[in-house]
Amino acid sequence: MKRILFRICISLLLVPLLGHAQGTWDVGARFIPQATTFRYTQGIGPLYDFLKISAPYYFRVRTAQGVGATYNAFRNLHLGADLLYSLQGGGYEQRKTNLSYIKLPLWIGYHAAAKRKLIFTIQSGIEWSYLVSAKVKYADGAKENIKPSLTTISWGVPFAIGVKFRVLGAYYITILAYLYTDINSLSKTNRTFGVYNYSYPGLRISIDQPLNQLLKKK
Amino acid sequence: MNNHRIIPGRRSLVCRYAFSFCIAFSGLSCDQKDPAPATLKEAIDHVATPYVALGADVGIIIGVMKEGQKSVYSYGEKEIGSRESITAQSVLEIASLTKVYTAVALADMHLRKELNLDDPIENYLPSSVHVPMFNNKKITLRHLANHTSGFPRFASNADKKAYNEYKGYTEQMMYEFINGYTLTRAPGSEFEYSAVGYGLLGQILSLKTQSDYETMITGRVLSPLGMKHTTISFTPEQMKHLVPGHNGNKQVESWSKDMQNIVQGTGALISTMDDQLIYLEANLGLINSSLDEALSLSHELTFQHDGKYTNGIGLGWNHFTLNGQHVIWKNGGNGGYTSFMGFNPDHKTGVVVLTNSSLNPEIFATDMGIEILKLLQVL
Repeated sequence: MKRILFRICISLLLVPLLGHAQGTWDVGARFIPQATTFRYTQGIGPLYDFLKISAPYYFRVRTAQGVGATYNAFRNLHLGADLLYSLQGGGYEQRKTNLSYIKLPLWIGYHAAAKRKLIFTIQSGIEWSYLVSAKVKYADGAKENIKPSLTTISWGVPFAIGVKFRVLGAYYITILAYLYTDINSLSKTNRTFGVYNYSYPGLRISIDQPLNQLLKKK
Repeated sequence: MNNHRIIPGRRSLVCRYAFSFCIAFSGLSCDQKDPAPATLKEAIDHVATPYVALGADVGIIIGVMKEGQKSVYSYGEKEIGSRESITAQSVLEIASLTKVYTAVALADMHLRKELNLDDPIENYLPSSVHVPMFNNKKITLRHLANHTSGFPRFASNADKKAYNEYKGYTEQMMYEFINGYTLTRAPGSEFEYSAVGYGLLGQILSLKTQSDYETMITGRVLSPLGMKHTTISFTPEQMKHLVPGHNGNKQVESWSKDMQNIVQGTGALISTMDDQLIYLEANLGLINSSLDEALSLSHELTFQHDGKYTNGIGLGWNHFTLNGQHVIWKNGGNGGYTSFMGFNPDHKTGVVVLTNSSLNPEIFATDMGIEILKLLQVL
């Protein structure tokens, strides 16, 4: 964990230094209400696996929340990093699998000209997830720790598309349709079993303020 | 407000971003490898636990034969939320594992000279059934048993949209299908897994013995091996121990109950782990019975073909070279259940996997079974 946090800090420091910090920063809060489940590799093909996600499996209504920073590097290009605490899971209604993660999505995105009222935004990137806890909860309330069987560090691909608009003069709200899937299997002790966290298409809501305004206030 | 500026050298900046993240995260791979499991139980836990913990299977029972010792491991539940484990006496559908029982009955009749593996199947079917030929080459009993008959996986006149394609599929429908079917290649020339072929083989063996499939398979295979809890009938005793099948989080209807004689030979047996371990022992030659020769004959390679975990096929059994060692296996999947039996005939080790779940027939139980066969090579 220490190694990951160290690398996160290093990368965040390196970016403005290497880029001469000529753009602007926005910082703010992130909230992602999400319906999560597991995606399984069933030996037929990825399309089949995706089609079977909505098969008779239980999904969980979970949330991810945290903070983030966006670096507006160019007129239409932005880069960002979030630090989120994310609840995920799946399994059965009577036997829920609850997973919690600290997540670090790194984004690269395109946005339309900032003068417009509604600014079209599209972004994707790569997301690292550190498994904090993993438990199976039974209907009678009993819990079982399954963390030793699961991959501690996962990575995946987020994708988001939507709009950004300004409110109260100083804030930006960004509402994006959001989709995420893991790339590496959650199963640590049996590598032939392909099972992945999956979030159904949902929302990613951000409230940001330009960093220079925030600093001026202080 | 427009905070965005056009910055000279933007490509260079993007490159710097990419570079900085690459440096920061280079070498940040997934988990470091844990120490190898020290015991068989620990190793099997490692294989099976993720399937249950991550919702792919409601329950799994695994039986292992190693150094003449049987051991049984159970994971998950009989029913979701019940907290009751599947036991070695619980009854589950074994689905297409039934085919290797049908194949042994055929081998036994062949050895007793009641029929010959290379007899044309038309010899044993009613005269109203016109079995197709290809360039005058006829389909034989061997072709049905090693899936080279040229018949497809499922009959075209079965209800493909039905949850259970076998439900309501009658003898008359099968004969109509055969009468109307045109072979596209010579029998014996190509492997194509065929439930039609095995249904027909079970029917032929029951016609030959002038009984139904269950009476035939009980008399020829199950009774000689002392397998008292393997049946097709859902007797009160079997129902008492029956574990319901699941597809995802839904409990589903049994397929076996609705399979008529014409398709029972392909996948209608219900059984217990205790009984399946008897069959595994018999196939490993660890118990003696009147079926020893027939079991050996069913293992003999009859056709070579390559597929996932497969180099060839005997009578129903798949052959595979796993890490340089010869293994023989068969799997199964009905709505609600999956199954696997595999063994290494040289090292006398083997595994049976039965589950009460079928997200996708076969693959999870097969992957689990093959992984455990790998473990048995090293532990």
